[in-house]
Amino acid sequence: MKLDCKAMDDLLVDFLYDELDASERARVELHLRECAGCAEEMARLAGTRRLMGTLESPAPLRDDTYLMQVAKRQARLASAPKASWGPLGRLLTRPSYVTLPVAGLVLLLVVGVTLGDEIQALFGTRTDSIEMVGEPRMAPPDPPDFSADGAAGEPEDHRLLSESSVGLALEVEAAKGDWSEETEDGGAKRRHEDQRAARAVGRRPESKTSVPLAKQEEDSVKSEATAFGEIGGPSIGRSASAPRVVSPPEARPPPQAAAPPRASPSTTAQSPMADASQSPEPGAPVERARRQHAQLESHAPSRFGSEDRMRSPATRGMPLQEMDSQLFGARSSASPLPDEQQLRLERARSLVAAGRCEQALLLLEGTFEGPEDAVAEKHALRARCFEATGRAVEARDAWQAALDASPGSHFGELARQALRRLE
Amino acid sequence: MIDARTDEALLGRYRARGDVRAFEVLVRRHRRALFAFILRFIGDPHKAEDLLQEVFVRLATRAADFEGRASVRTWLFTIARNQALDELRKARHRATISLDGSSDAEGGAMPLVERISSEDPSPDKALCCSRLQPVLVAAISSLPDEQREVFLLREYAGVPFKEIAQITGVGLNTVKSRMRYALEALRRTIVEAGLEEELLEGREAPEEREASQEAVGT
Repeated sequence: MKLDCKAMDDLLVDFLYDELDASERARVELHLRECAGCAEEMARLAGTRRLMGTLESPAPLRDDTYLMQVAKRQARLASAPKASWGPLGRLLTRPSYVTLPVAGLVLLLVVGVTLGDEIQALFGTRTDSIEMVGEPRMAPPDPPDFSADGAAGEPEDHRLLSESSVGLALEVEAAKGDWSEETEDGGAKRRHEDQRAARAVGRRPESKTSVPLAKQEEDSVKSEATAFGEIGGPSIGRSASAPRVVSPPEARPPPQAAAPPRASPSTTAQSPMADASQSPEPGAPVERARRQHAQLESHAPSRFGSEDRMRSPATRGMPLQEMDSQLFGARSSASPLPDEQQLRLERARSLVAAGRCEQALLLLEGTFEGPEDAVAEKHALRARCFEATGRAVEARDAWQAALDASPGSHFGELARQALRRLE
Repeated sequence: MIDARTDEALLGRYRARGDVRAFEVLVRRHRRALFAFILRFIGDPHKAEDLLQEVFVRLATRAADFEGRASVRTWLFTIARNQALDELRKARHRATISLDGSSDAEGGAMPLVERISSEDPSPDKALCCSRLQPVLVAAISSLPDEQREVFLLREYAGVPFKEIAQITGVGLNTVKSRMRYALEALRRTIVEAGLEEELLEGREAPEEREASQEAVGT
């Protein structure tokens, strides 16, 4: 089949960068011989490319010493739990979230025994246990020992801890922090309990997990301090560094109440803790831990059941506009998504709903393969984030990507509308 | 030989056995292309070194998150690209603040464009080639981000269009049309700088480039 100029136009850059297969290439060459217009255009592009190709690309100057130290250290951290934790370590470092419920139980048991009454404050939702998946990697508190890079050494070290081991968990917790901050009585209650928990743990500075976790708090997420305030384990030591006393203790409802948060018009959200605080009656910590685990298990099919409820249409409508309710209204059918991606998508949804766009974007970075509508939703969420942070160009790209991913879906339609709006 | 292994195999070794040499090979293999991309994207060599390092730190710290749905290279460039975009945003934000909001959105971080165009425009034959490099740099930096990233990834980092689509999160056709716009815009800038003759077909490139990177349309 012969190429017309329109078809040719689509192939020019492929031809220029040698990305055509032999038969397509032959067809393009044939057309170029016969069509002066296309040949001229191709010559222009090729000339530009050739000239641009003369630009020297300098090599990076910095040597890899520091990098290799990081790599070694990271490798050590990754393998450390296996040695010191035995079967437990192996379980916890398993690279998937398959072991979540089990890890959660272990965490609850361990911490439950040591913290007694504080467990309720520490462990609200089953998402907490996600931390455990990453945590053992940083369990052995290593002294920061790379001074090779001078000033860069210390902050890098901290960032390394936070970004790697808890990357996802932090995002997750950030979302939680938001939710509870935006509730009124529920949030106040939790904040108070959190402080109690922090104080309790603060008395045990030798606690193995507290060292790296506290450390990571000092890192670059400082500005997000309040968002991370509701983290269970990681909130250890926070009371000292980030005072978040928003409401006096007496304003807190009795622990049994677990009152559904009042919905204010602008910030309507339910505390993700609502679930967990349903069984606050005293009992042996281990017993309670078991019960909590049973709760987790009962939600197993949809790991984020409580949050789904939390985002039911009635409780949605965060500080966002109608576009968002549309976005969240038709969630992509993410069931065939791999666990990790589903997790990301779920997290990103709540982050976007909570207005934490930067974190949502972080979570959504990288490739994302799955059902078309899930990919489209991913891009729609990104687009929304970019819009919210005033990045029009990226927003347009992301909408375009959403449209490309699944033109026929709800998100494709949203993207079309958005693109029209942005024109 | 460890150097002959695929990126994915190397990352697997590093992840499973803590094989730091495998990690090192990955770094050596990709640092130059990543650096070329980051440098031309943000224009600041020091920052580019920082970001390059950060990309590999992430490779080390997040190795366990790699799931093989895209190539390691795609993953690395995705990280690099996102970091570079963040950096540009920060730089523009700073520029906006310092200039009382008078900086323009696209060229805010790229003062070189203005510097070049304010130089004596008369093309001196003897000086043309030494002047060429800064003109090319300026031309690249004057591209809109979404065109620049595509152009840099394809031209200097050797990433195929399909992978660029994955990295930038847009469709393949969008990538290709951006490439096209980029080439056309670059050409305009070069012509405006009085270097039209340099664009003529068949001229020998003054710098050594691999044959594969020479124009193929002749």
